[in-house]
Amino acid sequence: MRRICEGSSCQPKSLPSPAPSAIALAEGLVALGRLSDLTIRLEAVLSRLEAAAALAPPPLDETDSLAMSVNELCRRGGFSRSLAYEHIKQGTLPSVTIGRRRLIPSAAAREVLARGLPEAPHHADVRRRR
Amino acid sequence: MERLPRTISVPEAGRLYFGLGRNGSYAAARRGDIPTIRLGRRLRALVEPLEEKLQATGDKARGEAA
Repeated sequence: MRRICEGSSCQPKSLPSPAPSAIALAEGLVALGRLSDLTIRLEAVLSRLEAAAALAPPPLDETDSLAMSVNELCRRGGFSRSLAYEHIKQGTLPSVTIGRRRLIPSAAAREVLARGLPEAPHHADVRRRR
Repeated sequence: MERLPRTISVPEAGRLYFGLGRNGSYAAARRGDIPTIRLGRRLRALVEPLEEKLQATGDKARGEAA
């Protein structure tokens, strides 16, 4: 009874107990199965990562608006909102206010994303205000 | 002759220039954030002032606002 399920291929009852090499083979098969499980799982993770990458903000040319929110600019540029607002206040970053929203014209946004924010001699001001 | 369309619909203008929806676009037009002209019942957004609005540099925009 026990022996029937021991290997991947069931041994006929007439045979003596499975040779150690057969057991090793079975174990090897199980290990192989686990390994392929792992690779399948890895592939799943990878495909999910790829999907996430696809969800990431599209390149600038694909955005439909001619202006970009401060939030979006900061997310893409990797700087803080307060720095952006400081630049706006100092006049080094152009912006348009539409109702409550402040938008950065995408021409300027593109420049900032390509070359970084303009020279920031105003850090002292930022610090003083805090 | 210059490029033809000098006005576009208000929702188009809102979406293209500021990423606004339809209602937001009309609200912006009413506020004056989207420059418009009314022809009969029709409200159209003016392209050139919109372009200028976006092209104004930070310093210039600030100067004008002040």
